[in-house]
Amino acid sequence: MTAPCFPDKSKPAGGASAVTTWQRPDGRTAYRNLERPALWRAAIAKKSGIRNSGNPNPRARHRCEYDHLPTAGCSTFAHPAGKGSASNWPSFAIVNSPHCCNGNHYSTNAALTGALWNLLRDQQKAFSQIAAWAPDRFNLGQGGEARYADALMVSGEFLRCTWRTATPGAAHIPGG
Amino acid sequence: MMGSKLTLNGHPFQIIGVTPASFYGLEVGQKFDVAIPMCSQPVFSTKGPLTDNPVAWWIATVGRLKPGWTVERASAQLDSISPGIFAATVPGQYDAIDKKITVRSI
Repeated sequence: MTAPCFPDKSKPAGGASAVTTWQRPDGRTAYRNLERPALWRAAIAKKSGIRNSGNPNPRARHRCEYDHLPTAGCSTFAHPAGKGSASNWPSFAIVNSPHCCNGNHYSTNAALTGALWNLLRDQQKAFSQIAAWAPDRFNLGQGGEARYADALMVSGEFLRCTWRTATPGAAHIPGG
Repeated sequence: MMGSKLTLNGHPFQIIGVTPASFYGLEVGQKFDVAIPMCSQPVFSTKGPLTDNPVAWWIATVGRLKPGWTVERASAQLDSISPGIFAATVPGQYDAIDKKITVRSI
């Protein structure tokens, strides 16, 4: 059976619109450009084990595994747990808003818009280093069959904050 | 590899460095093949840049506390600046409740 093409534009059961999904290489389904109806959000939350959370990605339940990453001392930012959310899980209060669900919820850990990130970076006083990232996927091909690369869009402080220096491995591309 | 070029969605990028193969980024179970500057996002956008979209929640963040700062103190500082940040950036149809940014240790 051939894996679904990327992106496979489809709609979740129960309605909604403008939902883009695709099958990841590991067999899980990823979601982009979401305009999620309440029923669909609830179904995803139930599937992912996150009560009352608008986070559509099942990977969110693995956040506790961050403890195993070589990034001790780093902190992540999230909106506070919304009403009724499990206290140990981050949730996105704005997504929980009854007036919400028109946002584009990209990263597994996405918590900020571009404008929020810019102001947070400029006005925060607590952090000596602060960085941002967002995953995406790009076609490496120049015509013909597509070949996709998993990519991170990162701010200039990303590698410095994660204490990584340039050595052989994954490519890092200029700017930031 | 250094200095060579590759194309991402048809846009050329020059490789300026490589990270350890053991570094998979910050998301458990995920990996990345390339890292590109966030400011380049608009060149890939077909519906307007995400950077300017007030309802595109696409950025994850991480930071290192300054010496002497705790998570609680950092959250308090972020609490103090959150109202102004949200008022300046988030559209009015969103609830005012819980519009603040908090910090979690990882």
